[in-house]
Amino acid sequence: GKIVTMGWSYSEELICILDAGIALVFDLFGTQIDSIHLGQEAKEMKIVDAKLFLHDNVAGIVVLTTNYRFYTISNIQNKACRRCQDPPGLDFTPSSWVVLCIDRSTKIVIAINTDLYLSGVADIVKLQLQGITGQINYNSITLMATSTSYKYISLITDTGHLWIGSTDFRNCYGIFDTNTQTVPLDMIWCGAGAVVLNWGDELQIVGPHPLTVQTLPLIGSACLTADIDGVRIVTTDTHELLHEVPLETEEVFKVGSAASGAMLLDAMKEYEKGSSKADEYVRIIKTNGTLGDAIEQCIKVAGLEYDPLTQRMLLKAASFGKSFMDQYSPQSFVNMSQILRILNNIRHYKIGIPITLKQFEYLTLPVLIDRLILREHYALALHICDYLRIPGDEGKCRILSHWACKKVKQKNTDDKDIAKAIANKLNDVTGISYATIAAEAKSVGRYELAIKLLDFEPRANEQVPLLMKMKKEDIALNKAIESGDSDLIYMAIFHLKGTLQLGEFFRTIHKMPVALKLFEKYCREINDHRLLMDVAKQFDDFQKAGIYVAQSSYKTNNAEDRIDKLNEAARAFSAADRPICKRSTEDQINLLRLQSVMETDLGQPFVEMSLNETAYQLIFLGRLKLADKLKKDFKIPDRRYWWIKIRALAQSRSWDELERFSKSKKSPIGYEPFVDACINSHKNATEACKYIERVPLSKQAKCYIKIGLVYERISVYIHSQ
Amino acid sequence: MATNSSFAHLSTSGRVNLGIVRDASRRELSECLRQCPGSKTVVWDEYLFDPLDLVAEFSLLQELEVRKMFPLAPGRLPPHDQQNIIFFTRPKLSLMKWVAENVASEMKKSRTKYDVKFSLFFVPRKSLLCEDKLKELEVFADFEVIGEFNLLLLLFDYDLMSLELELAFRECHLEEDYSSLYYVARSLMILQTIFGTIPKIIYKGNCGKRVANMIVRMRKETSGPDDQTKSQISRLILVDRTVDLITPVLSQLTYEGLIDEHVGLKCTKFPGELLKQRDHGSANPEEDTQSAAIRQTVRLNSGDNLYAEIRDLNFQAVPPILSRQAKKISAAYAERHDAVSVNQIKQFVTKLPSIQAAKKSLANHTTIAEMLKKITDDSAFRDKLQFEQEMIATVDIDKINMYIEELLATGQPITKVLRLICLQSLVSNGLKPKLFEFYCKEILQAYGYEYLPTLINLEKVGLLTTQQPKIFSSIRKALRLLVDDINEQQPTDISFAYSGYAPLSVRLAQYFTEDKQSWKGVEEVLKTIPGEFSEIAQQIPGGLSDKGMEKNDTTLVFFIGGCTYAEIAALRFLSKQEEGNDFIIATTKLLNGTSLLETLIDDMSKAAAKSN
Repeated sequence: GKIVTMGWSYSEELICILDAGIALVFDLFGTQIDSIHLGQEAKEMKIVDAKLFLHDNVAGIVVLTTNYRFYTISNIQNKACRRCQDPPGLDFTPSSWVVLCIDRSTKIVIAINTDLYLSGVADIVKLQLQGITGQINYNSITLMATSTSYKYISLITDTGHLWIGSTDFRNCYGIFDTNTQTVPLDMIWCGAGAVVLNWGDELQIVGPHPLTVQTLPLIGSACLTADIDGVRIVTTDTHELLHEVPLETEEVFKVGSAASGAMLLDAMKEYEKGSSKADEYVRIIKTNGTLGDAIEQCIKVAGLEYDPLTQRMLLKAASFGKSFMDQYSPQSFVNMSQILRILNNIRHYKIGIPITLKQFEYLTLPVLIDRLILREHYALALHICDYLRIPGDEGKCRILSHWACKKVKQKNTDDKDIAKAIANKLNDVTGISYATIAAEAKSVGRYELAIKLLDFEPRANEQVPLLMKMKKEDIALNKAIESGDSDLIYMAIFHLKGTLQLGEFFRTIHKMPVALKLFEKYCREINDHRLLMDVAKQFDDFQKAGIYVAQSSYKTNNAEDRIDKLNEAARAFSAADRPICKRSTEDQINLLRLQSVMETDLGQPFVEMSLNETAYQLIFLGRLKLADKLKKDFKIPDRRYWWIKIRALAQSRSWDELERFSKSKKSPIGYEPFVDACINSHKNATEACKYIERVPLSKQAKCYIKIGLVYERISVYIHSQ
Repeated sequence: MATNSSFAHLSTSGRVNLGIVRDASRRELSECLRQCPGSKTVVWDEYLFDPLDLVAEFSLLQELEVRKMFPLAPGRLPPHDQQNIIFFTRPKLSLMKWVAENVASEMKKSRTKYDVKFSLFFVPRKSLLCEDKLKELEVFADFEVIGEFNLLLLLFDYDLMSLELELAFRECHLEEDYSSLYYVARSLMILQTIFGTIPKIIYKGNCGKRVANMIVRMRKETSGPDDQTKSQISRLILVDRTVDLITPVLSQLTYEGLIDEHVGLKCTKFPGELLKQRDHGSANPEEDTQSAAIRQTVRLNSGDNLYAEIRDLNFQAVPPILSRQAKKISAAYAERHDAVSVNQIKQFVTKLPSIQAAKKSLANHTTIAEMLKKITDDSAFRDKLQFEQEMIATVDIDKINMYIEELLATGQPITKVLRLICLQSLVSNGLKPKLFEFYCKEILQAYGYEYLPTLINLEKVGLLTTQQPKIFSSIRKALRLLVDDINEQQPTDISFAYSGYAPLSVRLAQYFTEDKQSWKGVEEVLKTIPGEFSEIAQQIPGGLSDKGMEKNDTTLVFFIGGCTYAEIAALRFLSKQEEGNDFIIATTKLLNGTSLLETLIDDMSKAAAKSN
């Protein structure tokens, strides 16, 4: 399409609005970085006119379509496009229109011949021009302009009258007759103080308060742009800034000025000449009590000057004045010196940011640094940050990250060299996000470089996802493991599992024990028995396989199924070379067999009991022979068997059998357990006493206490003495 | 935020004010709840109840417009009328199902009644697995907020913090899942942001090494300017539990240790119904409603002056102090008889609340002490103790122990038996293969085949092993672990906590903090103990060099895998020994031998039932 208009955004992007209803955004180097659609209607009907405007640190666009509808995008960042209310009777191009931003809402002032409308998204109002209606007979308003602050507006009629007023149209500051009916090429506000009319061969500067007019001849054609405190005049070979002379500057430099700043400057000059007048001047200032003001004035004016020599002279004057003050905070002097040093540097033609102090203050330092970064003046930006001691994350770190992001896009340099260069530069800077730089490298298709860069990234949660995106699952998993963050490891594991065949997955994960263990844990948690078995088998972990199978045997109540499973487990333990496990599994098989037989024979539950419990239960039920067989079959040691039998007999109140047992042969565990069993099971003191005699004398007392026969105890005690 | 009075002791007593840690958690909890404006119902993973109690009292939650609280349970939520429903849960897959069920049932209800807003906070951090699970269960999108409540360190006392990760030991040494170490490292990063970079890290044990490495790494990760907080903690000692497994399996003999072993302390809470029961004589405990039990809950911490005095003493020394306290209180009460003038009466009245509090505390501790006395006087306890002392002191004990045999045959709790068998294995650095097999067979025959995985577990973590290099006797000698003439009333050495045995873990901590000249031959012995050992110096940000640090020497001992109350008692004893030589203690979990073993027991029949 055709470019309707173009201009700069706040962050120095070039925006070109095409008649096809689209705006293209370019960076400083002419690379297109974005495009903005200006609405369906604009696309279909095309655009006849468009205006780009800046407000509240963002740029906006208003377009006029061929069917005379206004669309506004108040912030190009969020791209929301909205239609403005149509003024009545607009079926031809309005004679002029201008964008107003008041309280963050975008309005358009539309002039249709003599009528003025203020149109917004929500409403439209007709405006009344003060001080001109009825006095001057004009047919249309041909040109309008607002000040950068959107406080003031000026308009020109077809009769050549310039009207200057406030944007609420309540005040008229003045009307000036240009005495010509030609429309000026351009009308721009110079700060908030004057309107500049570009007549092609000369500029006319009109100030309303009081009405003053000055003309400035132009050599060659010129383009004017507004800045917050002046007008930039760009001709084919010059770039000038037109602005109001600040009051302070006037006071200090005006011939014969009696302002304290002027006197201080004079004093300094006299001092340099070695004249005693210096003293005289200083005395005057001091007696007036305005030395402080004088210093401040010199500092301030220095800031407003462009010539470093003049700046230096003024600062020298301030410094000279300072030496006559007992207590004077040097802060403003230091600040100004620092700022001027920066300003002088960026004003250098090689950098090319010729801005005024006011503009600098308006931009703020971070934005300035951004602009330097955008222009790839990394070194200067770094120097400024170092000079002003700006903390790393706002200064150095940010600049170097940008530098590195740019660096990775250098097409002709080797991956290795770039990685090395970046590592060298960024080595000792904390807080660099290598992941961001790597992502940049990835975005231009340099995967190898991205991986190399990610190696420097200390934050695994930045590193791992990016590696996965680049299909480097194994590296990602390794990095996750290094971080120790299980969540990341899981993320990498599942990503890996999703990309690989199961067998391949197992082989990969086998090399990383930490991941393997976590995966096993996950399988356990979701109770995926089969997967667990797969893992165990895959890695020949027969012991684990044995355990899993043995465990699964408990899931069934069918004895035969159980035995099958246990047999399988026993084989696994055998393969795992765990004889103890194998033997106990075989024992368990035998026990299960016996228990199921006994269940049918005795009609009592036995399965799920341990061997000890089984023996105990058999004795308790009086099946002593069966119990004895159990002892033999399972080689229950004598001593344990005695313990079990004594307790079971006592519990079942088989006192006679217990006594018989005690006499069957010498107890391998002594006779105290007999006493204990009688007492603990049924508190049967009579039975207990039967065995006390056979307890060694030294322990008898203890037994008596248990029985509760204290007197006997005393007698035993006496006896033992 | 006002710290409520029952936690006032946390911030006042210590040199390093750990109270800040609790304040930070409270702030974070408030922020979580404020993300969901309006009155709300909160559903808690039940496991978090006790930790939460340490962070926020109910009035704080009320202030934050919490109207109802429910434990997380399957199915539908109990009736409530709030539109804001907030879940707080650990990142556990099994819990996600419950959360999903709750949400689904509420959604069904809401279509007819009102719109409900759901939020979910993971404690202590989000987990991808859980989020995926929620997506799978099709409730993920129903949550307005999914966040995390970074509750890691729970402040138990002015010098004691716990992560309450009960499975940390199991996970690290059995499952080789090191997630808990990540939490340890994160918690240490939090402590370092509050109390400044710790200049020196000493670790013993492989988990210690992992944590140390993670801290160093995380420090690199945190971007931005170096932290400008002055170091208040001069040294960090990371003790891997596997370095000293003997201490936890031994019976703790301090007052607090005994309470934990025989009653159980849950985040410093003592079950109040045990005290109440006695008050009412034969009151049936089942009649106690749960709410009454909650009201009765007694918090045991240094807020109770008497408890602070006796908790770390060997139990032998406790009764005399209790009777002395009784006399003191009756003397204080008696003052009212001397009070004649109005002024004197006034004075007495102002003192009355504190006397009453002291009386209440005395009554509680007398009850507890009597209960413990009954246990310690019992022959079962004394037999066990005798066995332990024998094990610790003897040189060659590689034979079948009759006492263990008796316990096996008489069906004692398996944890009790395992503790003692593990002790025998540990002091002899592994059993002879024959003996090992004998014990294994005995256990399986006595308790059932389903404990086979448990035995394998114990072997894996090193609690029950076959022959290893014999090092215990040389360690015992070099580090003076066995102290003969101990004075339980007026101890001179940390061995008081186990009546004659100095816990190795604490001995090491002592060694690391003291002048090493006086320790002969320790360095060599230290090398023989399995587990990596090293020191790392952390760079202190410029301008914060250790000026004035020499006087205030605070050591943070972090037990990775848990520690016992008796070990804490021993460290507190060291703190008191030398002015300006303070210990603060952190652990993954407060444990005892039984609770440690319980985490390692895998019962196949139960596991099978769970998975069905």
